Order: sequence, then structure tokens, then C-alpha cells
Amino acid sequence: MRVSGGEGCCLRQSRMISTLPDPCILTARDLACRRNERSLFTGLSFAVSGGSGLALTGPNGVGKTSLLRVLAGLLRAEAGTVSIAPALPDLDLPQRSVFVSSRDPLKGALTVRELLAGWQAIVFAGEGGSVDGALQAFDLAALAGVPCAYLSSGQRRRVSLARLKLSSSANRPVWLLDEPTNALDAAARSRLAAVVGDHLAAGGMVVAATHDPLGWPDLAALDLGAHVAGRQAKAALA
Amino acid sequence: MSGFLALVRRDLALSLRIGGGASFALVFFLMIVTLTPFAIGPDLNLLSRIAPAILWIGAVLATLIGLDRLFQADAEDGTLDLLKAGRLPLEGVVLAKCLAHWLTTGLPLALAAPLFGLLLAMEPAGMAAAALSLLVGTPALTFIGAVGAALTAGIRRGGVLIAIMALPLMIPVLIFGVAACNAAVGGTIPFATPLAILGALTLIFAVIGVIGSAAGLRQVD
Amino acid sequence: MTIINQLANPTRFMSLSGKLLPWIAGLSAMCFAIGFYGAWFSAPADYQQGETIRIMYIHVPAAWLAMFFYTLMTASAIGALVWRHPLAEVAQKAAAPIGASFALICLITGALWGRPMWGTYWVWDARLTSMLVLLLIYLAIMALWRTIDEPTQAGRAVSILTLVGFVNIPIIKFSVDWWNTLHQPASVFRMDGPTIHPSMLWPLLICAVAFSLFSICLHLIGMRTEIMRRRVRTLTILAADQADRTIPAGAMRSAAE
Repeated sequence: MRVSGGEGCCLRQSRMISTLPDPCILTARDLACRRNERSLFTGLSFAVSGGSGLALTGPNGVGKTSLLRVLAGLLRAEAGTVSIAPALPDLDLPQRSVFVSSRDPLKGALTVRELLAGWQAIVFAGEGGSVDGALQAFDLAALAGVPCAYLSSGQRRRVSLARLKLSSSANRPVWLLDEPTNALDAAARSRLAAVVGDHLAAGGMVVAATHDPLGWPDLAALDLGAHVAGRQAKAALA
Repeated sequence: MSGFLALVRRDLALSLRIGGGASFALVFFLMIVTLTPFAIGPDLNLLSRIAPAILWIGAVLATLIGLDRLFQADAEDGTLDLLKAGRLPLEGVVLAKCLAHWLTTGLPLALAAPLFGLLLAMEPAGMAAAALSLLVGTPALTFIGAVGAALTAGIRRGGVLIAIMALPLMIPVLIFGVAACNAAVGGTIPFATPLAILGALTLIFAVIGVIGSAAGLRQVD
Repeated sequence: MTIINQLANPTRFMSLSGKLLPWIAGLSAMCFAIGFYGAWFSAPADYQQGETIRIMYIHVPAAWLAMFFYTLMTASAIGALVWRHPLAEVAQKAAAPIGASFALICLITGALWGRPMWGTYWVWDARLTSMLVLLLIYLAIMALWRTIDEPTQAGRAVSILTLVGFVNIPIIKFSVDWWNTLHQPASVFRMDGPTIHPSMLWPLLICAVAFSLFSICLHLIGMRTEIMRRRVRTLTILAADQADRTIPAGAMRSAAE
């Protein structure tokens, strides 16, 4: 695990675990992002290798969600590159990661099982996950037949996260989670921690934007706020 | 391919379970057909002469129903991010959603047209022509509307904007749709000519609409 | 729990309507038998319209009932808005599709009747057109019901629309009459007594009674279905909650009753 950023980027060593013969690595080089005429961050570089994770912290508006969307290939960075090695033909960033945003893409008229089965058929077809596995992993089996409109916000969040198990760690090694523990109770948090633990053990990578301490093992921290402040100080000096 | 069909099935299920979709467009169509005679009077001869125009304007406006939510609903709740992460190209996603929209809007409109033609004292040949021309032409309306829907997917109040953007682009379809209906009940040109042009328009707009909508959706982030 | 309080009253309705239904259905079948016998065999063909006059025995009751059910909906809407009675909402929701169906039957039979009379299926005569507008209002109300998921919220919104529609219907009727005054004048209810011959009148009245009883059956069944649907909804929500937390089993059972 190595994290290298601009000044002020918190750095912490952690063990390298990988069960994949070919360890994956997510590399971000010199990323810059601008939203609504406002520069969020510049010169951001880091790498996350298989079996480890990165927790993005920092105050609101510093660009955590934007960074995740850049990593997911959904938002174009103003400068810099993101790559997942080894590269696979025909598969780009969005197809090699699972991005769980802070919004819950639930359809009130569909039951939980219909919704997950739809995601699997439309998005994750043939990627080695299963609807039943996803239901099990987040303790949703009892809710499988309930229309999403009737779920509480914690339940909606769990259904949202269940997509993580619709693909396999080999197919989508990068998990990008935006405030994953929001609205989750203690039991659900430990479920999520277990699922993330399995993913890391299988050689996957996790990048999570968070305000709360997640308590997951093998997690380095990247303080985006400190990074931005450091860059600004440097620019002021120059 | 299975992802494509699954997306069509999902959208059909959603539009059939939630109100809207098929039933709203049909009711709106019926309302336009009903309103026109109030404005121009109950003279059956006059009504039967302008019936193709009423049916086609009704169909054009009714197609707009539900179009504002075509991509917006998915953009709002984050489903669009998910769809972008699949292996189905965004063009495939657009085509699937357009197909589902047409099956719940354009197709019922075309099938109901002969029935509504009765209200306007259309001749049987005219009713058949109206149904056939709508069957061939309404997919073009959906594809054009989809571009507007994609461009406003990230905007809160996109509904009226879609109508303003899409209606001018729908004019050619309207011209040849009404021309086909008129040709069927007399006139100098054979019925097949405007109908063939209408079919060509649908094919052209299928290509333009799908590519344009996919490009529009890529801008939404 | 408020949910259970709301279900308490409908529970009495369920048992009462369950007992009443077979009797009303039987009575309705009997009236249909007598009324249709009268309409088909005993009543004479009209001297002007011939055998097609027999469509009247369906057309006229359907028109009456289409208007009756809107009145019923209006009364229910007042009940739902003023007294917040859950049964009133249910009655209103169940009435809309029945009223719409009768309006549609009235329009279809009117078109079939019009074909031999006017030589075309449809003319924009005042009364048929008013019925068409009534059908459109029914459809709008049903659309609003379908769009709002939460039953109480939907009931409130639909009640307001129903009342606005009720105030508007006489205005619409007046406007349409003014727009087109081609149709023959009303022939049953007139200040100087009915002009229709008694041999035609009595089957018509019995048919009207039969259709009314039949529609009351449909309405009761519709209300029962709606009550069941709300219970299923409540239970599904409770079940979704219970999947996570352990709710006392008694709460589930009393909600089911």
C-alpha cells in the first residue's frame, strides 16, 4: 500500500494482501477536478493496490464525491489520469468498478428481489455474482418480496449496497463507496465490514468517502481537505 | 442482448405498475380529440376532413407525456450511473428505453386511433390509414423526444423544455403522417409514397435519436 | 396505533357487506330476468326506431348510473374531507371505475344506437358529448388515484378534484347544451309526466333497478377489495419493519384482523 499525494496528505503504511495471482493496482496521477467554476483539487496522485483500501476524509465540498466519480469513470477529470492495472481490453473504468453513490437507485414499484435481479441482468450479467448471495450478504432475505417503496432509509441503503455482491472481486476489483455507512445501524455496519473484508481478502480494493471512522482493516487515509490546503499554501508561496 | 431485453422488461414493468405511461398518454390523446370539436363545431363533414390532422396533432402531443421522466427519473436516483457501469453501451440503454416508451405510448396511440377516428366521422379507409401511419411514424416521435429528454435529464424543470426542443423537430413526421392519411381517402398521390417517407424518417431518427441521446446522457454527471 | 384504529371501522363494514352481498346479487339477478324479459319480449318495437329501441334498456340505465356514481363520489368526497372517514375514501375510490364503466357502456350503446338512427356511429350531440366529458373527468380522477401511492394523501387530493368536478359538471352541461342543441328533449322525467308509453316504461324501470342493484354489488365488492388491498399494504410495511426489529407479534395479528 502506498499513498503519495501533495503536501499534507496523510500517509499510513499497511500490509499488502493479495490472493489474486495478478495483483491489481488502481493508480491516480496528477488529478485535477473543477466543478461549477471552482477548482476542487489539483495535483492529486495516489495508488491503491489489491487487498487494501483508502478512506477519503475532509470537510464538505472539498471534492470527495467528485473524486469518487472521477475514479468511477463517470466524471471527466480536468487533468490527470486514472488507471486500473492490469488493463483489460474493452473494459473501461465504469465496467471494472462498483460505485455506490450516496443516492439509492431504488424503484418503489419493484420488489427488492426484482430490483436486484434487474441490476444483475442489465449491469452485472455473467460477472459471477448472484441475487441470493447479495440478499444474504446484507441480511435482506426477509425483505426480498417487499416493494422498495415500503423500505426504511436504512433498508434502502442496504439494498443499495447489495449490488456489491452482484459482481465478483475479480471482475470488478475496485469498489467506490460514498458515505457507505450513512443510515446504517450497528448490525448493518458490521455486515458491510464483513463484505468489504471478503473483498479485500480476495484482492480487491476499496475507496470510501466518509465522515465517520469505518473501522475496517487495511485502510489508509487520504485527507483531501489537508491536501487542498497544502496545495493552496504552496501556490501562495510561489 | 439479454441486458437489453432485461432493461426493456424493467421499464415496461415500471410504467405498467406506476400510473402514467400507457394510460396517461391514451387519456390525453382522447382529450385532445374531444376538445377539437368544441373549438370548431360539431359539423361532421368538416371534422372528417380534418380528422387526420387532429389525430396526428393529438399523437404528437400525447407522445410528450412521460417523455420528461424517460431519463430524468434514472438520473435523479442514481440508476443512470449504474446503467453507465454495465457492458451494454449507452446507445443500447437509450434504444431499450425508447422501445419501452414506444410500446407503452406510441403503440397504444396507433391502436386506439381507429376508435377515436369514429368520433371524428372518419371513413374506414381513413381510420386504417391513420392507424398504419401512426404505427410507422410514432417511433420517430419517441426517438426525437428522447434527445430532448436526454438533454434535460439533469435539469429539474425539463418538462416544458422538452416540448419546446422536440416539437419543431417533429414537423416532418407530422407532415408525412397527415399526408399518408389524406392520400388513403383520395387525392393525387398514392398512399404508399408518404408512408414510405414516414418509414424512412423513423429509421433516420432512430439513428440520430439514439446517438444524440447517448451523447446527451454522457454529459449528465 | 392509528393504523389499527383506522381498520376498526372497516372491519364492521366487511362483515356486514359480506352478509348483504349474496342477497343483493340474487335480487339483482331476479330483476335482470324480469326486466330483460320485458325488454326483449313484452315491450313493443318503436314505431319510428324499430327493434333498435331495445338498446335503450341498457343505454338509459347506464347513463343514469354514470351520473349516480359521480354523485356518490361527491358525497364520499365530502365525507372524506370533512369527517376524515376512511370508509368514505374507500367508497370513493371503488366508485370511480364503476362510474367510468357505465359512462363507457352508455357511450358504446349510444354509438350502436346512433348508427341506424343517424347513419353514423357518433354525432356530437349534447347529451352524448356531456357523457364523454364525464368519462374524461372519471379518467382524470382514476389517474390521480393511481399516481399518489399513499392512500390517505391520494384520498384527500382526489376528494378535492371530485368536488371541483361536481361544481363544474352543471357548467359543462350548460355549455355543451348551448354549443349543440340538436338532440331530442328528455323524455322520461318531465314536469308534465313521461311521454314514453307504459309498455316500454315498466321494463325500463325494472332494468334500471336491476342495473342499480348490480352496480351496488360491484361497488361493495370494489370497496371490500380496496380494504383488503390497504390491509395488505399495511401488513407489508409492518413485515418490512419486522424483518429488522422484533415487533410484538400481537401488533401484527391485530392489524390483520
